[in-house]
Amino acid sequence: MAFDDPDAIPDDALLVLFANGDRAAAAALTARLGPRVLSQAWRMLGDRAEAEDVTQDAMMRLWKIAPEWRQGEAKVSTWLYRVTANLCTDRLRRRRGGTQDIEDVPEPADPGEPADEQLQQRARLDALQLALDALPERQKQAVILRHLEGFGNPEIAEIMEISTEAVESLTARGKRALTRLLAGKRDELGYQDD
Amino acid sequence: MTDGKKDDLFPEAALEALFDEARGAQDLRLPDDLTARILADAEQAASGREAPPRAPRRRAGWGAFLASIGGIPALAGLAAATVAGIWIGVTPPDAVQNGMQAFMGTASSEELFELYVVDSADGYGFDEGEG
Repeated sequence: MAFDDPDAIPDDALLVLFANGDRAAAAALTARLGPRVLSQAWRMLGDRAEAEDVTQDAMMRLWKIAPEWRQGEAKVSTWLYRVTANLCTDRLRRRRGGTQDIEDVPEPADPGEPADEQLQQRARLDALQLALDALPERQKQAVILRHLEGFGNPEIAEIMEISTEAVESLTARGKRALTRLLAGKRDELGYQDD
Repeated sequence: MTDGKKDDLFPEAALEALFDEARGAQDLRLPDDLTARILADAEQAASGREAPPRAPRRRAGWGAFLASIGGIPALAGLAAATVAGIWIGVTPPDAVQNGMQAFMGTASSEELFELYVVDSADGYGFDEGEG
């Protein structure tokens, strides 16, 4: 079946089209959902190659479940982000014990030297990633979904299969922990006192 | 901020600015090779579903017989009917016996029995009187 504007078709309808043999629907779903899956996995794992593997794995699970998908029962994106979160959690558990200490973050460029803004930004983002990696797993996941991926609390609750109150608690504790982990790095990271 | 001394914490405003920066720096494109791998998986999954259904296995012997009568439940029914038939034949209920007597014109079950039983050993039986 051909369609003129894939963007106008809901995710679950695209999935049903794919299950019925429409290969273009797979391309549309990949373009629509893949980048966010990769981003989520990258932030959770802090490793690009592993994040790509997780993305491929998560999408493969989507292709496999397509024939059994019941339209209207669940959001495809929420289901996929939950699968991604679980795959990341599995990998994090397997590699547990090998985390880098926040104190090992390379010192950012000295702000007194001629500023290389790109390097400075890279240092800030690396510091954030390492601080995230130091958080307990569920706090990290909630903070990433809320503050970096921009999901609302109800959707995060569905993805993590917990209540919205639990999401609020996790994100609040996660942010408090980040402010402790990044303490003392404000000037180094280029954030001046107000 | 409620816990810890102010100087021991990264300012919340700076943390929000860091989140904003991280969101802005996000590359929202999939690398071409990853896209190709994902679509190859999709193709493989779709092809697997479209494979022609395997031909049903042919049944032979006992399986074929069982299938022809309708499976195990039918076999159980057949066995029950067989046992009931034998039982009725050996010890016929009065209604059956009377009906047969009226139909065949015989007087007793012994006579009825003789109608059906051929004594193939007639004349060759053992007689206690014979030496």
